[in-house]
Amino acid sequence: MKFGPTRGSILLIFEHFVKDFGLVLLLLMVTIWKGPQIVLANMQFLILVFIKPISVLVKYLFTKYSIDEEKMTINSGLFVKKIMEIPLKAITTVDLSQNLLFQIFKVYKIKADNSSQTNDTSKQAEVVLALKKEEAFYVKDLLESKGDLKEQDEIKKQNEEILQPVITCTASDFILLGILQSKLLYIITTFSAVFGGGTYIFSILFEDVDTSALIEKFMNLFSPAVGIAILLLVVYILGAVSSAIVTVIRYFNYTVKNRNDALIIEFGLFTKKNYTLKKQKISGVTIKQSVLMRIFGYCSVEVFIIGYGDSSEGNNKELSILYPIAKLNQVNYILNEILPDMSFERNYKKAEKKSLRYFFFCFRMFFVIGVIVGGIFESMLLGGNRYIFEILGVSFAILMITIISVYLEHLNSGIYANTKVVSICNGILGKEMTFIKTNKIESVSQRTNTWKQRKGFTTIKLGFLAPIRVSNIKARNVTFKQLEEVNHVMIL
Amino acid sequence: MNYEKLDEKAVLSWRIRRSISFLFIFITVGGVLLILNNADLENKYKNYIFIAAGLLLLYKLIGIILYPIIEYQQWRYAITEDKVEIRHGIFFITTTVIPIIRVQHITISRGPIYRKLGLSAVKIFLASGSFEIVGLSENNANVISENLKSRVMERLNKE
Repeated sequence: MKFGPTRGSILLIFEHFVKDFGLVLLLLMVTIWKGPQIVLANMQFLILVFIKPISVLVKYLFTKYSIDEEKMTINSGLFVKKIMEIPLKAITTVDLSQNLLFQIFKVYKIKADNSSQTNDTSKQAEVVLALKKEEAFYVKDLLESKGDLKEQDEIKKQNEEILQPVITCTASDFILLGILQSKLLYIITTFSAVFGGGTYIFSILFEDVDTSALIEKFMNLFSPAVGIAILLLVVYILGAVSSAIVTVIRYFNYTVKNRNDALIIEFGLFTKKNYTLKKQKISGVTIKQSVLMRIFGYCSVEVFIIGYGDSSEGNNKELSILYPIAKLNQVNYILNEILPDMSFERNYKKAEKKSLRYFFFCFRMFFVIGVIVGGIFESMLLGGNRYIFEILGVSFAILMITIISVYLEHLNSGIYANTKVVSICNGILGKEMTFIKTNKIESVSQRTNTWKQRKGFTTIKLGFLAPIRVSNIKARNVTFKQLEEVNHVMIL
Repeated sequence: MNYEKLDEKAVLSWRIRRSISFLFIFITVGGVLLILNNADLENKYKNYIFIAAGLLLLYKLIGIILYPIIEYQQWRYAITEDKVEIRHGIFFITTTVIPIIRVQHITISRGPIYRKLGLSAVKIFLASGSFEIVGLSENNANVISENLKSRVMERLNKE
């Protein structure tokens, strides 16, 4: 046995302190505030308060980790004992992270992910362990070395060498990312927060002032078009600022170091993270450009590997960022340097002109037509035709926007395959170029109907080892010749 | 490529399964419509709901009578030296190619309807997902499973 058996540091149970111990804290506050009588009178609810802390404690007490030359063994379970063995060769990423509490006590959380975590057993095969600094780094080396002593020594030597970061990103880069990235969710939440919360606070501070009248008065200063434009600009700026603040805190001091066998990614202000991505376990990368990024020639790069950037970190969904923001040609140069077994050419075979008609057979087109027909039908036949011209005008505008979006989608579609990578390009106003290692593709599915098949077009879906979110990438309405090319390189 | 077809009993198995589902939906929708009929709702909306419910039930009924025949004609599979190819669908035909070197494990499953009809389904698991060949005769399923297992073992021995 090279390590363990051990439970690790007890601090692990306080990892999600607010989530797990929130009710206990609330109980404590109520007891202090209202006195113990109210608690004693409601004893039946006490069990609810302590369920989560007790389950976390039991899980900690009855889970032991050990590592030998070949595998990691996890013994767990209170009543039903379970032994899980994970071969070290199956481990894809090993990452260290520290939240504020862990930083105070110099404890690191180790999270090891393995290939089985794309399927239903993802939670069962999770390895989460908290250890003191020296132990944590030893276990990380051990897991990365796959039990090979020689390799472990090599890794140690490599660790001792000071690796120069190949990618560094400062706060200004993330602010730029926040501005250029279209983040609808942030914009909506900011809008609701500002207009909901803002008016509420304003009404408390200035009780005499009627906030809705004030907004109305302000909006009346401008013509409707200018008013809407100002409103959109304000909402966009607020959305971009909030997005930038969140991103800067999460990805503070972001660096990527290039080791022979792995990429080491470090970042974080309050919660510091350190990921080691084995290069041979990387399935692919995607280069993303929002519409503003395309205008200014910028892009961001995400990487596909189990354990990095999926939702396995509870509610803290992280992007699988490799290069947050950079000029497109700079990204090409760096990617070729750090992932030499892939190719990042962009010689796409664009979708053929004849295939344009099939792009119109999409959900959004049918949805828009359905809404328009329903709206006109309702207003003409059932509700009178008072607003028919307005409805027709809006319907025409929506239809035109949808047609343009479909045409742009056709223009951006493309695919190519060679022995190193299969690459798919798609997008409407933004653009995504996905590069998947050919030897990581596990299945190729094509979906077509008789009519489309006769004309020689089909839609390809590639299945590969990656977090569920991205493990099925589609190329729409490509020719059968292109499908044959993909099948050919995959079987080779 | 020489494609194999499914066992003819597959049509009957789909019909039985879809009939059970139809019965369940019929009872649920019927119950909801009965409540709605007595509810205080505008006739206009009631009509919409009745039309939608009628269309749903009609679609499900076609699913029992017509779709199994089309589905049976479209279902094909082929297992060669290096790949498994599965082709199925009703209006949209999906063809999947799986390199045998990517197969992780295989399972044979028989539900109550399949057991009664002497059928089996072979499920092929990859690290990134799974694919199924349904409506096979038990004997055929065992042959396919053994064939794929031996290929997987060959690959593991090479590794």
